[in-house]
Amino acid sequence: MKIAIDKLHFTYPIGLEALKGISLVVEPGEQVAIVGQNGAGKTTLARHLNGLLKPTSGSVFIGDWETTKFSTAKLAARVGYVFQNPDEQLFSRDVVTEVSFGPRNLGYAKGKVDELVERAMALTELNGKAEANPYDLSPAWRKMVALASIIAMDTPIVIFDEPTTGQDAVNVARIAHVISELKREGRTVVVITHDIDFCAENFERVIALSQGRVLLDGSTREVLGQEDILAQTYVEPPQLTRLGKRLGLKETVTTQEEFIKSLA
Amino acid sequence: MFENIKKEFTTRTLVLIPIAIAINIAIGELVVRLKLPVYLDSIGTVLVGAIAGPWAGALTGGLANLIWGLFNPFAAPFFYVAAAIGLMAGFAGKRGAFQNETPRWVSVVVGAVFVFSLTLFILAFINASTDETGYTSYPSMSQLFSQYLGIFIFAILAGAAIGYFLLQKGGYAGMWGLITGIVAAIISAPTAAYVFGGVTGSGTDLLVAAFRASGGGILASVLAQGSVSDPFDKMLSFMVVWLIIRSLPARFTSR
Amino acid sequence: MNALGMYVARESGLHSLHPLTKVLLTLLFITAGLTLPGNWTGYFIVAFIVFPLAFWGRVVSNLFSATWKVSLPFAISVILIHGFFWGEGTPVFEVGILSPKWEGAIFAAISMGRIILVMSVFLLFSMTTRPDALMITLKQAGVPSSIAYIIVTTLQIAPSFQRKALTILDAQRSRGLETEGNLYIRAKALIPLILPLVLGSLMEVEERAIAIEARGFNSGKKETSLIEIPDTPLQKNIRRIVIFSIFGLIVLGVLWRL
Repeated sequence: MKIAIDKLHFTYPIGLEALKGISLVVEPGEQVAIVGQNGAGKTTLARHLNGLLKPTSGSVFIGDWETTKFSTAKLAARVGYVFQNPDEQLFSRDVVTEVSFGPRNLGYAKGKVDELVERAMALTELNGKAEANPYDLSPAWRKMVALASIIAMDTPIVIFDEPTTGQDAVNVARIAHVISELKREGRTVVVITHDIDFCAENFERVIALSQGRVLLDGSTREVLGQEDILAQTYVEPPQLTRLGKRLGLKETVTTQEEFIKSLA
Repeated sequence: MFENIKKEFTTRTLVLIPIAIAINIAIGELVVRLKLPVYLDSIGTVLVGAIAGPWAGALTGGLANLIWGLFNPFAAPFFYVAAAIGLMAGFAGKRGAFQNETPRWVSVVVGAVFVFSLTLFILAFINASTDETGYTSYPSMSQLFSQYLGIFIFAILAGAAIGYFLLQKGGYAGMWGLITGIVAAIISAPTAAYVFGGVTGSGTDLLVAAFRASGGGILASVLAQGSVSDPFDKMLSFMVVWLIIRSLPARFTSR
Repeated sequence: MNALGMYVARESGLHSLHPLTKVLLTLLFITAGLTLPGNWTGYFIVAFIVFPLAFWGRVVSNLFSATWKVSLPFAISVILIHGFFWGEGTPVFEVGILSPKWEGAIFAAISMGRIILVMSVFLLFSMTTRPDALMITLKQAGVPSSIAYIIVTTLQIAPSFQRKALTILDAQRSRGLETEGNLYIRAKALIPLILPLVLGSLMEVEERAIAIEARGFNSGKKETSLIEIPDTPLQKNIRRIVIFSIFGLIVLGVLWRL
C-alpha cells in the first residue's frame, strides 16, 4: 500500500513547529529507514502515518485513505505501529492472548486470527512461550511479543519506532530477520532509528530529517555517502563507510560484503 | 496490633505507595480522556490495600488526597475518606476478595441485592413527605412494593444482569467494593455538605439537584447522591484490582 | 502537574517563612473559617487575612486566577442547586416553575464563602512553599522519613506516569483499540489501558526497593540535610500559639453548636 505525504506541516499545541513541509512517497513493499538527531521530527512524522497525529496543514494518504478522515483504531487495519517500550502496551495473562489482541480488534474471523497469531509467533521465535505471562519473560522477549502483536495484525504497512534501542546482538538479528520476512511478504516497512549500522544492513532507502525538513532522501548508498550533509543532523555514516571514504574507494560501501568486494 | 502495622511497612510497600498514588493520578487522566462518567481514582489505593494490607492502604489513600490537594484543594479535606477506602480494601484483601474466584451466581446475587437496595432507597427518598412541624415521614415498604412492583422487578433483573456480565467471577471483590462505596458515601457527606455546600463542581451535582427538587434536605441529598455514584465507582475499582491481582506475573507474586 | 506543585518562585517575606509556620497558619485559617460563628466568616478571612498575605507574598494575581479557576465550577453548582431547588422559603421572584428563594440564595452565599476560603488558603500555601523545603522541615519536626519519601517521590514520578498513560493510550489505539464512540465502547477500552500502566509500574517496585535500601533507608539513623531552613524564635512562639488556637477553636466550635 502506498504512503503519500504532501507538504506536511505540524505544530504542537504548545507552539513548537515540529514538521515544516515534508513531501515524500513510499511505494508498496519498500523498506525505508528514517534517521536524524533527536528533535528532527522522526517520531512526529511516524505518528502521522497511523493518525495518532493529524497534519496542521498538508496531507497524509495511506492508500486511498486520508488520515484526517479515519481514527487511529481504523487506520490500524492498514498501518501497524510497534512502539519503543513493550511495557507500555502488554497487559494479557499469556503471550497468545496478547498477540491476538490486535487481530481481534480488527474484527478478523476466529480462524484467521488463530492463523495470523501462529505465523507471527513463529516469525518472532515465540512458539515455546505461548502460555507464559509476558511480564515473566526477559525484556528482550517482551520486545518480541510487542513485535508479534503488531505483525499478527497483518497490515500492509508496519512502522517500527527505535526497534534496536537497548537490544542485544542476538535480538537485533532476530528483528532484522523479521523485517526481511516482512519484505518477502511484500509488506512496507518504515523504521525510525538511531542505529545507523542496522539501517545500512537492512534498508534500501534512507530518509534523513533535520529540523522538521527532509535533508536527504535516496538509496542507502547515496545518503550514507554524504557525510558532510549528514553531519548537519548529527548522523555519522557507519564506520565501514567512513573507512571506505578515507581509503579512497570509488564506490560508497555500507556493508561488510560490499567493503570486501570493493577492496578485491 | 502495632506489630501487625509495622509488618505491613516493608521497603517494598514503601516503594509501592508513591507508585500507587501516581497510578491514581494517571488513571484519573485516562478516565477524563475517555470521557467516562466515573472517577476510578482510587485503583492504586485499593491495590496497595490488597497487596500490602489495610494500614498501608489507609496511608496511601490519605496521602494521595493530601498531595493532590497541593494542586486541587478540593481533594484535601476528603483525605480521611480515601484512607477509609484503602483500609476497607486491606480488610477485603485479608478475606481473600482479590485472590479468589467466586461462582457467577454470587455475582448475580450481589448485583441484584445492590440495585434493589438502591432502588428502594431512592423511591423511599422521593416519596418521603415533610409535614409543617418539619417531621419527615417515609413510606412503608409494603406501600412502596405495591406501588412500584414493576420497577422493583426490573431493578432485580437489571442488577442480576450487571452482576452476571460485569462482575463475572469477581462477585466477592465487587461486593466489597459496593460496601466500601457505601461507607465512603456516608462518611464524606458531612464534609461535602458543610464545607462545600453539597456540591462537587462536576456532573454528579445534577443528582444533588434532583434530590433537592424532590424535597430532600441538603445533607440527605448529598448522601443520596453519594449512595448512587460511590458504590458503583468503588465496585468497578475493586473489580479492576481483582483483575490486576490475577494478571500478576509469577515473578511478582513469588517474592 | 510538576514536582514543584503550584509553587511560584518569588522573593518575599511569606516565601521565606518557615514551612511549618505556614502549615499551621493554613490549618488555623481553615479551622477558624469553619468553626467561628457568623455566616460571613469565610469572606472576612479571605478579605482581611488571605488577601493581605498574598500581597505580602507577591502572588495576588496568581492566587486570584487559580482560586477563580478551581472555584468557578462550584459556584455554578451552588448557585443553580441552592438558588433554584431550595424548597420552602421566601421567593425572590417567580417565573413559571422557576422560583429562587432568599434562604437558598443566602445559603449559596455562605457556602461560596467557605469554598473560596478553603481553596484560596490551600493555594496560597502551595504557591509560596516549595514541596522539598516542606519535606525537610517535616522530617526535622519528627515526621517519619518514610512519609517524606512517599510525598517527594510521588511529586517526582506523577508527571511521568501521566505521560506513560498517554503513550499507552496511543499504543493501544495503534493496535486497533477503539477509544471513541458510545459509552460501552469507551468503557471497554479501560482494561487494556489500565493494566499495562499498573503491571509495567509494578515491575519497577523491586528495582526501586533495592535502590533505596542501598542508600541506607532503613538504617534507623537520623538523616542530615544539606539545606538549612531558616527559623526564628519568634516563629517558634507563633507556632505554639497557633497550635493552641486551633484546638481552642475546635473545642469552642463544638460547644457553640451544642
